[in-house]
Amino acid sequence: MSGLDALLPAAAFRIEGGRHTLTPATPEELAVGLQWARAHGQEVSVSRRRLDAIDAPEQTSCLVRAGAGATLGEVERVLQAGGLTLGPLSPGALALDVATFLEGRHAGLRAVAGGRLETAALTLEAALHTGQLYRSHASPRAAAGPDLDFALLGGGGALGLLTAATLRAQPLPTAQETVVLRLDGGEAVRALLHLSLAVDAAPWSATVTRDGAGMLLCATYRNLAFRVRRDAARLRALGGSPHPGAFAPSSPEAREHELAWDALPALLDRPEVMAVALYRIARESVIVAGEALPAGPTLDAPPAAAPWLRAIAHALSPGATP
Amino acid sequence: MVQPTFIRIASVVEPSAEQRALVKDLARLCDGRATAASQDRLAYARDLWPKATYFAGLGQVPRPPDAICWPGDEAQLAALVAFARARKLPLIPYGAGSGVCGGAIALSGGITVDLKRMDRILAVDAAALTVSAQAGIIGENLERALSVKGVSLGHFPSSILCSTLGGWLAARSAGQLSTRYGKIEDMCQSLTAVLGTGERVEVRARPGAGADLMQLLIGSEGTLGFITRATLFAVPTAPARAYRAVRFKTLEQGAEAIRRILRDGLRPAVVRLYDPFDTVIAGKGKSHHEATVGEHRDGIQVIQERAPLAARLAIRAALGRPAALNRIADLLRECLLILVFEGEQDLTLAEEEQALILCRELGGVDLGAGPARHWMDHRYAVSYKQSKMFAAGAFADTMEVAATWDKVLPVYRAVRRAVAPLGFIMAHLSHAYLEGCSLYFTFSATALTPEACGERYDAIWREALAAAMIAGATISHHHGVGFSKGQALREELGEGGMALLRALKQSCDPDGILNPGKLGLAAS
Repeated sequence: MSGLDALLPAAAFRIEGGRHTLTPATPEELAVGLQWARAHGQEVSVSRRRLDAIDAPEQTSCLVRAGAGATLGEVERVLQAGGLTLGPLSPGALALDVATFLEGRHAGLRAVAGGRLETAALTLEAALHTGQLYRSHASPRAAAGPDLDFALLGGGGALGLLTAATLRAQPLPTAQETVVLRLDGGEAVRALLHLSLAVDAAPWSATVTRDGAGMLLCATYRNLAFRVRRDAARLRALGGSPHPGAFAPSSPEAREHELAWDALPALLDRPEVMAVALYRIARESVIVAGEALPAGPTLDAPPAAAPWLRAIAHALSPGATP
Repeated sequence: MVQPTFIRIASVVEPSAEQRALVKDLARLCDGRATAASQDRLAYARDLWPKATYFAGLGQVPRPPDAICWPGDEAQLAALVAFARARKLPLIPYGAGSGVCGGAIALSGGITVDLKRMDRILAVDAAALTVSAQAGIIGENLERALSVKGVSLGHFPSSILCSTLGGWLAARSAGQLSTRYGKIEDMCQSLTAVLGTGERVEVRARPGAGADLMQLLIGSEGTLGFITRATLFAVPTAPARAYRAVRFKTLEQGAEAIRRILRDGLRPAVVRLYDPFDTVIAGKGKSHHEATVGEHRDGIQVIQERAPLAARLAIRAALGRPAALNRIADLLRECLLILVFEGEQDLTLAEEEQALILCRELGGVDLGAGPARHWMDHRYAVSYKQSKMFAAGAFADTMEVAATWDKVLPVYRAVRRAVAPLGFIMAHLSHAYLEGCSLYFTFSATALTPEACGERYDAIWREALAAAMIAGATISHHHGVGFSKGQALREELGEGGMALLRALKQSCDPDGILNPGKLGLAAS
């Protein structure tokens, strides 16, 4: 007997080939399991699939609470049934579960109005490796010290494992318009999108397709009708030549990378790159998805364990093996 | 938890032999820029924490630091940290001292480190829309330099004339146009800090490979390191601006209007909904036919100028019966909503029009541009109005919290109910988001003796914060925690959150020398 059986119900863990896997149904079960692992110096795997409840959306504040094991696609379906959406997430993000989206390289970020990045999670609930439970306060913004959620977002589980999150949603857009422009090359695409961010007309998503010596930028706008009309017109006025075409989203299997804007032209100008999709278009960076992208960490790869994060983990739980 | 000890100003005499020796060491590290002279120590003994302001009027200050120094660069700062670590001396980072939570008070003595020598603008890229500057630059100076290049941060806290970039980042501040441009943490692209280990770190949020240290340093209020420089996103100076004011019959209608405006994807730069008393007391509820754009002098100011003693007695008499005063306020209903849109002309006008449609659907009465324009022209004057209270032997303070929309009005009612027996209270809603907004309470009170005043002050804060937290608010939207809300932060974070915060502190400041006693952390 491992001792876990005295602490957890049978369904909350399994042992296969001497390896323990926690399968908690509640944050408390996960906390107990992690505390046991720490106390016994035992490595454990964790499956959060049973933490997959999705609450009914809270319409007044546009929020939805979802378990760490629910996929964003499942959350999106629940939201859309209530006239809400998570917003312009990439197909790759929507395929992830809540925990991976928040703890992984996406770090839970989404693009919002004004061309900014904002965490999709209003609150986080987690079991720390010490066995303590963590729950951040539900507030749109705060100045209550450092935002400790950022010790968990993108942290790969170094300090603890998420059990649930309250996610920000927004009303489903009521209008959609696509603008297709022909541009000279990668730098022209970058410059146009940068300008669109500056004038508050950044698209929801876009594709860039090689077209002879130039490129076709196909930008999709989704918002209220008056806003879609204005933003699309603004983009047309910023540059490029109008061209027929349509937006074709990348498949969830396409590799997604996060790029700094100054790296985008070189990528687009590579002759083997025929088409890419652009998501999470924000000042800081852009998500690029495509089939023939250069090697490098994709957004579904485990995040890097920064030395400072390891230092916090050591301070949180000296001598423990995360 | 450590509280500041108030001492008589007259007791702060010339430095002791130990303090003089300390100054010599600090001067070696900081190009000679160090002092322990009594007038300097007095100047740095407090920030704008209102309780300290009240007692300053009575000739008392919190115990001052042992010395003050002004490092010129990051290398000097790192050397200072090493020096302080070796001597186990507290270091208190100091920008311009405009914090209102006692964050710059040297609770355990030590060395106040003023960063204003590090005040250069390093780069402004109007094409890329970024600006890099050192942390010690005064906000107004930064903004003026940007405006020459046709860009802006869009960050306009009411303290912009007396606050620094480093202070903004350390406190997670918000400007009055934050609904459109975000808070300071939304604007920061990267920053550099010297940690309590002496290590210089340069952190950039995105593209990122994992967790974001930048967002853990922002809001750390000098407890993890000294923020020395930052690169922020700028915006083009708005080519157009539209002002609008709307009167609502009830606060509930006005709050719903704000919620609907944000839900419809509109992004006003300014959203301010004054509760009934705040609407009336300063004459802000006038229609566009009556409001003037000239110099504004409210009723209290006029009386104080013409009959100062009468004004003092009237203020004390009114505040001496806060329950009655608040019951009068409860009879009022109408509220004023101020909206300011700015940006590209077509979008500005379209959003203004959409907002007005929404407001009318909810029963709002259009008051035109006057009240909103008046607010914009006088928005920095509000801080000076508090001095009337202190001059009258009373005190005034503000408490800003934030909540999701489903909790905003319950928080408002709960805090008013809790404070009403103790002090006069009014509020406005501002800094709005799709998910909720900030509630900004102003309270004033007095008591028979200074000691009783101090106790009344503490009681109001205790009751107000507790009521806000129970009703679902976070303890601060943008003023920060300092030491005055340390206990409340412990309660808000809970065991797990405090464990994380302590681990973060331990990793960045293992000797605990940086701003001890703040953020609910240990004093030593």
